[in-house]
Amino acid sequence: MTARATLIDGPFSPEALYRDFLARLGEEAGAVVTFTGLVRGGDVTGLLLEHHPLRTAVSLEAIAAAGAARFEVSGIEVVHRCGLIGPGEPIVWVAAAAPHRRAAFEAADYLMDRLKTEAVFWKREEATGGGRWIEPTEADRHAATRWE
Amino acid sequence: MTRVSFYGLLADAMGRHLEVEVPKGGVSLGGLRERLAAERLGMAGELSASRAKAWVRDTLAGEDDMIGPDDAVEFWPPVSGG
Repeated sequence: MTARATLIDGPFSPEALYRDFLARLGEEAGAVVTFTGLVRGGDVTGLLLEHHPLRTAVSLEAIAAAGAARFEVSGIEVVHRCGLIGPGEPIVWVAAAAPHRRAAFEAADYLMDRLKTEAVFWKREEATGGGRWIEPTEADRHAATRWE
Repeated sequence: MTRVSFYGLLADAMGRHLEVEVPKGGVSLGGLRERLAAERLGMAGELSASRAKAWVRDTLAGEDDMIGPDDAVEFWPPVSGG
């Protein structure tokens, strides 16, 4: 198993992705960590993720490959949605499998920090009063510096 | 004509694409930013080098890089995934 990254322009099922990921694991895997990012509700009516026709997919693949190269993992998967996403729906799913848990936890954490700050998307929160383009927060940027 | 493309909040303000007349000798990236900002008052900050990356011929461009009449330029506001 190696690094995989997929850009999807419609809904996806984290449960189905997890089942597929488990089915592909090799015997060396002793730990799997997954993370699912969701659109928060509240005043937000949706999240628009604009993507680039070429570079978005390339950025996802590069981040997944970097995670696989950096940590003692046996498998990495990144799935990221684009387009208009409703409250409560998954935006991103990452999985890391490793012989031991620490590498799996760290790889998933690393993947999300880099996706937050480097994945090629432009994000707009849609609300009843209109839309607002949003960027990585200071906390997001600070978290990403931990891996430099 | 040089084709200039925008994404995110820049596309909202400038349109998705613009065709810009560029002299035969070309224009520097910094010069192009200034021209675009002059046409869209209020967007100078968002078009500045500190806010918008620019890609020319599939390469991240510097402010002194020259852009010719047949080039394509893309301006990217800050990206964010996850």
